[in-house]
Amino acid sequence: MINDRFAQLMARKLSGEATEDELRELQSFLKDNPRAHYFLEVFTDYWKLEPKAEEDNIQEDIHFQQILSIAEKEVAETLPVVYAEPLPARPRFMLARRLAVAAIVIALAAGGYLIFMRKAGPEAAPDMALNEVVAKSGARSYLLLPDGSKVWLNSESRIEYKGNFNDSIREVNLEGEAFFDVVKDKKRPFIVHTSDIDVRVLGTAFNVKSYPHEPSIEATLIRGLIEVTNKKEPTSPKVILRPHQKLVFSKDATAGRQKAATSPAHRPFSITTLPKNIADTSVVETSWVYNKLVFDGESFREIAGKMERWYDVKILFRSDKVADIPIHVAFRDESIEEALKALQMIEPFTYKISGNEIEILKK
Amino acid sequence: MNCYTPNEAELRLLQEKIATSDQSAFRQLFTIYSKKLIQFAASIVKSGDAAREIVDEVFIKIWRNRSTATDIQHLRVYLYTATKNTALNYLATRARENIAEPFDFFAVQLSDEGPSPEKQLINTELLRKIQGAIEELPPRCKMVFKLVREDGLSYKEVGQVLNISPKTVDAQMVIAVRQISEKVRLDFDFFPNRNLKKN
Repeated sequence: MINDRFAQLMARKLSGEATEDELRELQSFLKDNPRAHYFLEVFTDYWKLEPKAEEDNIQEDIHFQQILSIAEKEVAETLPVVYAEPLPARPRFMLARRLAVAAIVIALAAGGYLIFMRKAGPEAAPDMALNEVVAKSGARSYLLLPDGSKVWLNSESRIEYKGNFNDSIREVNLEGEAFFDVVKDKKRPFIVHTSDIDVRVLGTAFNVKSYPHEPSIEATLIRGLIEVTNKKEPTSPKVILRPHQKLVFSKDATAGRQKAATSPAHRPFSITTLPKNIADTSVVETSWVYNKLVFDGESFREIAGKMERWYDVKILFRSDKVADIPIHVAFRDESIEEALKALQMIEPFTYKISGNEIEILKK
Repeated sequence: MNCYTPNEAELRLLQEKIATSDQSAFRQLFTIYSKKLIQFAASIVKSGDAAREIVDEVFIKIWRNRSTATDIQHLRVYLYTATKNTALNYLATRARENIAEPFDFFAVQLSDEGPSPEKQLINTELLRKIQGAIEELPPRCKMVFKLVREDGLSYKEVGQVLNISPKTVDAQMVIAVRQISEKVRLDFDFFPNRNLKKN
């Protein structure tokens, strides 16, 4: 172990805190302990290293403009942070935690900028622009809607809304998964359109999952009240969800085939109630919002789909035995390798990574 | 892209310009500090999105109150402290996450860095050892080290931001330096002129 005083002097020198006397003391220490030179040199070199330069200047420009415009806006009450963070169609990195630059970003952001610059009162021109925000595989995106409602988009998801929610209704189209925290506005209902169902918000925070390739659509309510309508049968009774209830809509359901329905025959809906005392962040359906990936007994094969989206990889199982193992685990910011290693502790298996394809093999 | 830490005079100048609604001065401040503050916020709230929101709020507030920008005594400390407070407020409203004492659970993110191209002592191997050692530092120690080395804060400023005394900061730095040198020391024992010993 190196000498305490030496460590202290070295730290003070490197951080610029050392006094003249301390610098002298350090010098004389070095004279008597030549090996200590090595440490000082290593530390000095390390100290001088610079973080890799990041080239996000245009993105930063846009972001900065948004901050300015929000700050300038006259507000009666305190605004939640207001910005739409559109992701470009082609992210530069696979696990897109950074936002790459593309022309589409500027266009969308310009639209966003204009929205928030708009003052109350008659508009110069009607804003019919359809805004689209896309979250690519492996990324999640946060955005704010014109009324202040917050949306978190999970990876491979897309949301569309008219540039300026109109006076009587607030509507968005969703493909994929999003978590909504909706601002209460009795005069303007908030509706999420998915391919097969509409979710009408009477309250506040809920999650909707509607991926095109999955056989069912799910809506989970955390706070407030939502009403779900089957678009294919608009006259059939709507379902109202209460907090901590989850609704699963089966796209293929016909009169003859239904999941555990809560009432008569044709309903392709099923409702389950989630345990109430779990924090939002651990509720499996919404844990992704908090950047956690939680699995609670689903088989490895079942969770592979989620992992594929989360990490932007393809997972191939070469062993049914391994694929059928039930998994109880929560991931936060682990890389795919760390996640695989963690899973190996639950049940042994081996894996091979080539590019972004992962093969899972029996141990 | 910024590895640049302005000195007191430069900061003061920026403040004065901002007070006169100088947008490019405000932009400069944003460019210099936003990434660092986002990392700092992220280590408290553990979410990149939330961290960005939080730092945005801090800057929005500064611009909203730009006419009194020169009232801020110490801008650097203000930026970090405001970020910290906003982050803690954010956590408080998400109290369901059951975080007892946020500062004990820093998930400190270090910046990505590469070995410098000129010839010097640090090759990739050694760099990785050092970074590994830093990763393993206890959370508070790691935070102190990061703020001092990467963010360029003085011991006093770190103390003000984290609400600890400069002596504590100094003690944490000693711990950090000792732990890092412990990892680096093994490398030293394998220094070229010595007999190689298998581990």
